[in-house]
Parts: sequence; structure tokens; C-alpha cells
Amino acid sequence: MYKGKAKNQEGLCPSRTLPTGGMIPPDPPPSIEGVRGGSSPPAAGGLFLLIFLLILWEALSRLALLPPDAVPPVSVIGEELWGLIISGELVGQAGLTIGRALAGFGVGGVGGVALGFACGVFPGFGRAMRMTVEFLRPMPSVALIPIGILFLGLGFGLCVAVAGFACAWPAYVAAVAGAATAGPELRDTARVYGLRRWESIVFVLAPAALPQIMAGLRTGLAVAVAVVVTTEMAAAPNGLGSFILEASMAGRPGRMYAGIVAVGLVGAGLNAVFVALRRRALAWMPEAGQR
Amino acid sequence: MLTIEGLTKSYSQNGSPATCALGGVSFSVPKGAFVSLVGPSGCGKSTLLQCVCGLMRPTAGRVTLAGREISAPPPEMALIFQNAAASLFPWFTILGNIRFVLRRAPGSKAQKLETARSALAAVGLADFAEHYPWQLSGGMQQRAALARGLAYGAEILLLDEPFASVDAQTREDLEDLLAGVARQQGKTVLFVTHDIDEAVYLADTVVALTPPPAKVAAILPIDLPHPRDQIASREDRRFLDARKAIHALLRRV
Repeated sequence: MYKGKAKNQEGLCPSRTLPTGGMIPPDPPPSIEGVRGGSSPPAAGGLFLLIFLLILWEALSRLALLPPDAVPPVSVIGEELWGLIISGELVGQAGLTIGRALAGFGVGGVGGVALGFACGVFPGFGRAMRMTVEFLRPMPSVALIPIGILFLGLGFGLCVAVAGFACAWPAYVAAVAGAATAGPELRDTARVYGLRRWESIVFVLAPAALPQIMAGLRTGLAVAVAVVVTTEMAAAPNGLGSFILEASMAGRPGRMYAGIVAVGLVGAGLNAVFVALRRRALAWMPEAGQR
Repeated sequence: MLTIEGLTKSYSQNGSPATCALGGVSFSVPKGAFVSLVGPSGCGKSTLLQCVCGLMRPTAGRVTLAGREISAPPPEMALIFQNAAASLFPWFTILGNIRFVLRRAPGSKAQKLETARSALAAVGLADFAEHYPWQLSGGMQQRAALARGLAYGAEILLLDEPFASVDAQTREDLEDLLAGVARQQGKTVLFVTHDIDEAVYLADTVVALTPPPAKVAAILPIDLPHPRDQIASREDRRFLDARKAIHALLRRV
């Protein structure tokens, strides 16, 4: 944790390290990267593995070691993906999925954080909610699809409701734990300096909970994308989930894989945006965003 | 005048027999005085401070400030914790920490900013206003906590072993800083420590407590001239006598 981070150094922040004891620190030894003569970012190693696996896939498929009807070569999938992007078909379906996922995430994330934080801050309320929450929380969200169909029909409302339900729980759990993050010194400090109870909740307990809440929301966002795609497969006329299932049933594996890749890209893209927002929200933390 | 009368605090947990931390502590702190409170570790010094500033209700006895009983933290008092890092709000800069506790203070934004900046200057942190607490060393964090207490405008500073977790050199600097600022700004100080030398060095009066349930073992006036000096004062006959007397007292009880 950030607490006590700089405890032992009489100096300041890492970016302003003072030469201790009058000694000038020696130049850092040449790194392995330096010896290799490349300043390759650490991600490059991961990229090589991915490329290798894709080439392996291509080869196995071309050599018919994998059933080409179920696993077409990567190049064929890539061509299909590109065509679907150019035609706008996949972009439109992805847009629907993103909209539903974000709406579900918004509803479920806000609801889960609000409920969890309230349960954490007001122990009486938390105890009153406990049984109900522990009954609902392990319920598989897709089991609610049939109920949702009765109320909401097929499509947007249903996807939002089911995804919202699913992603509320990681947010809830994180917020309950987060509400207990502010230590006794911080709480007492707020009281000593005459802050009201509500000020203490809003300006002390809430910001202290923020790192955990952000971690919970990040999990929740991934859950929202997954659940929306699942719900689309089961009960929506469109969206990436529906697109993938239709392609599979029509015996068009290239289309199907293109849809699956699109789901991956949507998930990764939303995660990247969220991580960037989180870094801004937690800019006060040392090494913000590295956890 | 801050008066502590027959302060008693016992804790009972889940039906187990009550532990008595404070067994009727009485003493008073005159306005503008620097009073050190020493006692063996675990004798309830922190509990006493928490009761004095109204964070905790005593089981019996009372604390009065100018005749008014304290039941909730009053605006006249600021409490400085041993663990400064844990008491500074990590999401605010040092300046932000100070401005935050001035939320309810009267005055314009500009005036409060001025108050905050001058408090930082008083503790030598003027150049670190925009740093976050984790970017400062332990000693600087303690200075920041002190600046926050000063800016708050409390006439009484309560300090709970504030220098217990900094290195010896920093500790001497902080002692002299506190003594200087308190005198200059006419603050009343109640300073809790387990370190007898520190207690004597800083105080006008030392209150020594017995092991729990704590009572007042002795109240000793310290007849040393101000400002004190880390070398000269500590070699002074009167310093050594007071130190020896308290040592004997704490060993006996």
C-alpha cells in the first residue's frame, strides 16, 4: 500500500531522489535490453507468442490437422473480419453490444456501489440486507433471462437488466470492503477537526474506498460485456452474440470467428478506456493504475 | 484552563471482566502552559487524550475547558497522532489537507488559503504544499500534521507520542520546532510521550502516570529557562534532577 511508502527515505518523492550521504549514485549497469541493442517495450515478448500461435493455427488449419469446417485458417477469418468491418455490418452489431454493455454497467455499477457502500458505512443497514444479498448474489444472471423476457421482451431492456444484475455484485463486494478502508486515524482526524458525519462519509470514507471500488467496477465491466453477449445469443435479434450464433448455425465459421474476435476487441477496448479513467481518478495514488 | 477531574475509563468486551485503563486521573493544564504526560507504555495515555478531546466518553469523571464540559471534539482543540502518515488524507496534497479541515472555519477562500500557507511556512514546509503525503518523509509528514493543527486555530494542541516513530536527529528538530511554534503562537500543549527526557526537555510541567489503572503519580514543575537547547538544557542540573526523579517514580510504582 501507499502508506509508509516513503517512510525510510529522508528524501522526497521518487522523482526527486536526493543523493544520500553526499554520494552520487553510480550510473545504472547496462540492462539486458541495452546489450541486445533494442529498447523494445516489455509487451513485445507477449506479442511474439501471440504471433507464433496465430501462425501455428494457420499452418494446422491449412494442413487440415484441424477440421477446416470448424477452424478455418486465420487468414480466412481475417479477410472475413475485414470485409464485415468495411461493410459496416459488424460495426453496427458491435455498437449495439457496446451500448447494451455500457448501459448495464452503468445501472449495475452505480447500483452495486451504492448498495455496497451503504452496507459498509451503515452496519445496521448492512445486516438487514445481508440475507437477501447473499441469496441473490450467487444466482447465475442468465437464469434470469426467462423472467426478463416476460417483463422486457427481447433486446435492449433485457440485455441491460441481466448485465446490470450480473455486474452489480463485483461492484457491491468491492464497495463493502472499500467502505472499511479509512483507518481509525483518518476517521478520528475528521471528527477532531469538527467535520459532520455526512462530510466524513462523503469526503473521507468515499475517497478512501475509491481504489477498491474502481477494482470492483473493472471486474464488473468485463462481466457486463460477457453477459450481454450471452444474453444476445439467447434472447436478442441482433448484437454480436446473436451474430455469432447465427453464423455458427448457418455453417459459416469465418463469420462466427470474426464475431468472436470483435467481442474480444470490444472487451479489451472498454477495459482500456476504463483503466485510463481510473488512472485519472486515482492520480493521487503512488504508481496509480499499476494495480 | 483545561481541567481533568477523576477521569476513569474501563473497557469491557463481550462480557469479559472490565479492563480499567484509567483509574481516576486528575490534573489541570493552565492556559499557555506546556504539559508533558509520561507513563509506562500501555498505561492509558492515548485513552486519556481521546477522552480529553471528546473522541471517547469516559466511564466516570469529566474534562472541562474554561468550565464547560467536553463531550464532543471542541474547536479549541487539535489532536496530533503518532502516525502522521495514517492521519493525513492521502488523496489531498499537504495544502489540501489543511484547507480541508478549514471547511467550516469562518472567512473567505483566500483568507483560508493564506492561513494554510502561513501554517506550512511556520513548520518549514512552504515548498511542499503541492506534495502528496506519501511523497514526504516521516518527519515531514509529522510537520504537515502539526501545520494542519496550527492552521485549524485551536488554542490547545494535544499530541499523542508524535515523535515516537522518527529518527533521533529528526526528532530533536521536531521537538524544537514544536516548542518554538507553541511559544510563539501562545498555544497550550498537552504532550503525551513515553520518553522521560523528551517530556522534561519540552515541558513547563510533567505529569507522571502510574501503570494501569492509571493515576497521577506526581506533578513536577520543570524549572528550566526557555528557549531550551538540545545540548545545554539537557546538561543542566535541573534537567538531570527532574529526569532522575521521574525515573525513580516510574520504577517505584
